[in-house]
Amino acid sequence: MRRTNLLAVLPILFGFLALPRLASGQTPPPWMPCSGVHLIDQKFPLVGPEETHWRLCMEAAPRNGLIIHWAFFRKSPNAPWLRLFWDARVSDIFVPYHSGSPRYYDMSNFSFSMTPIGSADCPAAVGGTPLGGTVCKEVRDRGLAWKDDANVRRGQELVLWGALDAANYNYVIEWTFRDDGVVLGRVGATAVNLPGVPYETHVHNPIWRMDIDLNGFPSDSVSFGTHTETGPTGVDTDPVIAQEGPRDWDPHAFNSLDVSDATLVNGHGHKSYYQLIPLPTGGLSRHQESFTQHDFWVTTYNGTELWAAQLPNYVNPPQNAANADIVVWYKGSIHHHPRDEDGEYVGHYWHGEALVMWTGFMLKPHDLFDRTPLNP
Amino acid sequence: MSGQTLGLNRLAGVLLLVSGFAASLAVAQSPPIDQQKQSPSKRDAKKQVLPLDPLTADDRGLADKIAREDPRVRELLGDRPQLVSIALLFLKPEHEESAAPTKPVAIDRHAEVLFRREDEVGVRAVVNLSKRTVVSAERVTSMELPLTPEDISQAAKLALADVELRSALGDELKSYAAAAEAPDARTKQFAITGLRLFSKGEDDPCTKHRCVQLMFRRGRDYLSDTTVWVDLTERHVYVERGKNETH
Repeated sequence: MRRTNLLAVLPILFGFLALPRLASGQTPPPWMPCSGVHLIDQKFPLVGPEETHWRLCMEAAPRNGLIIHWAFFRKSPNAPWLRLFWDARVSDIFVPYHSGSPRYYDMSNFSFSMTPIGSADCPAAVGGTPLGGTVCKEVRDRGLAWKDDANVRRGQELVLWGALDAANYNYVIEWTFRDDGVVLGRVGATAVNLPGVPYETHVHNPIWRMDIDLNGFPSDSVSFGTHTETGPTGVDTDPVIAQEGPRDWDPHAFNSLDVSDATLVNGHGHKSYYQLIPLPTGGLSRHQESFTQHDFWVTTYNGTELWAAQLPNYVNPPQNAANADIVVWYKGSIHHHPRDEDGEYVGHYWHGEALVMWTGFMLKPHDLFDRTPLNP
Repeated sequence: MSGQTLGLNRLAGVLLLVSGFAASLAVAQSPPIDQQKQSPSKRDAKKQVLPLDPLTADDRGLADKIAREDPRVRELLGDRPQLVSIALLFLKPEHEESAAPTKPVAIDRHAEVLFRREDEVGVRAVVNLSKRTVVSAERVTSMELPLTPEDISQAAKLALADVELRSALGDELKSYAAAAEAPDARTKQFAITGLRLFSKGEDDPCTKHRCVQLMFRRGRDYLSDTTVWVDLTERHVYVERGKNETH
């Protein structure tokens, strides 16, 4: 009898150990192909019950700098995890100078390493934690999420950044994952102006490559969002991009690349998608190199097609891009017109640092939530 | 208590035990969020290499060896190829059972190995480290090959032998000569860094050759009235002095 009771007590004990986790009803976290400092896991809000959650891998690599892999988002504790990225990276930074030469490829032409990062770059006081000596993780308030008179909600975000040591330049590569499911990608350029020609204007063109996988890697499509107006009437169109190729961004048309999956809908049955929206600072450049003649490119997945300068070759001949495993590319621009603030000659040497100049984009969920969790 | 009751009790106990273990195992297979992040030494000792774990020196050696032993790569490489870089590649498997797997997924580890031939043409091999095979091998243009720290060091040594540059550097020549031995050592007072130069002009040697623009850094400042670039293919140094340009 005593033995029977013991047998009965043990499972109850095991059951109790299991219960608190099972009872929560949270979907289990996805297995990740990384560990240690490379595995980033962040729930929002920072305090209180979870509303949304990011889980991803980061790689601090020579050449491309900070790369994001396997970025998962959970829009509510009971919702399935959604993989947004297989891989997201800055493919290259192309830098032509006004006189026609030099024309640098700051990522593909050198295995630049990342700069060290310490407490001065990444202070704990602003939510910073240095990771692996070259990456800063900041978890912080991001300002207003919404406001309605006296009712208000501030938002929060996870920011990962590292800097590539590109000779006289440092390129700050930054990825932001917000509590509302938005992702921001930015590149900042800061430097001692180019020795020999410190006053020559030039353009830094970071080109991002993002392998977006919604609900797994097959069955994705990219639509080209466009706003047009005739007389007083406006209309939005969103035709699917049928084949690999480039697209141009017109600020008056609010163009976006809208990535969807054939199987992904929200609770209202609406097709969910992520919108790639440019956030330029001043403008977007064109240069004689053909890959710089467009702002967006859509390609189908090939894991070794990683370099922006080859884009015209990657899409020739164009393959079907609808209902496929797709990769989207976006080129931003930083027009650097040197100014006295950048520095000055002191004898034979140039003394001074150009302050950080930024360009980037937003990936914004559309009909992913049934309603934003930030205003329940 | 009858024998039948005792038997039922035992059966119930066993069932409960099994269900309890099953529940515990279910939890174990869905580890709490931070569990994968932590690295208790006992678990690490048995832990398998993950697909995105950084390449080790052994991985790099293996990738280089597998590439060089592959007949397709050997045919492309020719004599005396130089290893340029080895980088981790995170390639997708052919199929995916779950978009959000909760159990480990078999994803082969890959590396991209780049070589430079004597004629400046590049060769790219994609190596499957898990299966120890070469997935693909192809020629790439010189433009697709990154410079290496050795390239900068070689260019710096060539440049520092140039009379014009020695004159421009004056008393600081010795400090830069030491820096040439360890390019990109950012923490040092004197450092030599460089960027690859390309030209589109037909008569310009840097249209086809491997050219480097060198930069000479003292503290936080860069030598700016002298431009130095080196054609590594022809081992030729070009120095332009007195370029104190203004706004």
